[in-house]
Amino acid sequence: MSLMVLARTFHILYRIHHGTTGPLVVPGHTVKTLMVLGSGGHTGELLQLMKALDLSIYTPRIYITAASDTLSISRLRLSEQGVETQTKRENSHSSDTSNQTQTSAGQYSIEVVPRAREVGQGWTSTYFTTLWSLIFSAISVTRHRPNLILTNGPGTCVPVCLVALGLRILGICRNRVVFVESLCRVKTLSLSGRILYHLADDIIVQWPGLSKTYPRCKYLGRLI
Amino acid sequence: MMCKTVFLTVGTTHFDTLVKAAVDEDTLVVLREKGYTKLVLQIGRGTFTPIEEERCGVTVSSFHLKPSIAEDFQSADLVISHAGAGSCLEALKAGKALVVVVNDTLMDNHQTELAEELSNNKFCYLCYPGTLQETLTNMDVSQLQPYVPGQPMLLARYLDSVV
Repeated sequence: MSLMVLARTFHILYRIHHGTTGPLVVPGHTVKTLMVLGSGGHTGELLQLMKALDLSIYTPRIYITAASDTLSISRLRLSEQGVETQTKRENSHSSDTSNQTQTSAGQYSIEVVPRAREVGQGWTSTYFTTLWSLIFSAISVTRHRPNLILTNGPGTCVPVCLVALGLRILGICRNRVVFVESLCRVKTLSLSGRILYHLADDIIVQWPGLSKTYPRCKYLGRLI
Repeated sequence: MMCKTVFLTVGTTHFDTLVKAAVDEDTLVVLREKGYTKLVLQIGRGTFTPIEEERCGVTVSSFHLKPSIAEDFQSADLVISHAGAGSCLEALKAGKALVVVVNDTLMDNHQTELAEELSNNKFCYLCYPGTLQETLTNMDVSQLQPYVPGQPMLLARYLDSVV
């Protein structure tokens, strides 16, 4: 049994590192998307990326946020409400759009987990809070079984991605982990980025220099 | 004379040394000389709350946090921001003259990377709390370059091709 898990782990990691993770969903189906919100800038950047997605495909959306971060939640609600209003307006203009699109575009839920690390927290205590956060994330991610994990690097995202990878190894669900490095990283990857460099399917960076230093990074152009 | 506004923002963090540097009498005098008569401070989780009053010809007011500070950016003529990417870019996208102040006491100070890159591209001025006053004195906002926003659609297209 443990040998099988080990072999499967190597197989999944091999596919991640060679970019051969297959398509997640059959055409015509939606992609259940999980996003991890962080404090301040992380949330702002992620919400901008979210708004560019075709939300009738990337639905339902699950947001994971840290317990102490009420501001992220209210900003998220503002953004999602904007999406919903826009969809409704579009729908009222075209009569052939079904009600299904309208409801699916506005479909989202919020999961609150304890923080892995507060800004300025020391490294030793970080281990314990990360473990605590890992347990909560494991429950959330296992319950939702998302197809796509889109994150841009708050500390909470590492346990979330680990659990998603675990579910993939155990064959519980197919998923893809996409890490978008923050625009504020010009020369070096963040701590989350350095950990996920080995585990995520895609590491997207926003400055060309980073993809030279770290060959697995993809530079698509500046996103924010 | 036209009333020009300065909006100072520290985001969701705390940056008391910046707030203190901004409401310093000498800094207010410089701002007044440059034609700014109003200073609005968003002080986040900071513990130092400046007194709301008119000093050196500048009306000072402050608040901690609110869900959207878009209006404050819009009504400002000059933004003084901590080096957080969100705040800097919101100011640049709103087309505002920007002075970025780096917090030199943070544990993992990657913030300087973006701030340096933005100031290398002449999108903003860059300084530390200790050099804020000097930077404001010497700045010429007409020399700054307009910022071209990034394209989140590039990520959306990539994801559409892989999922």
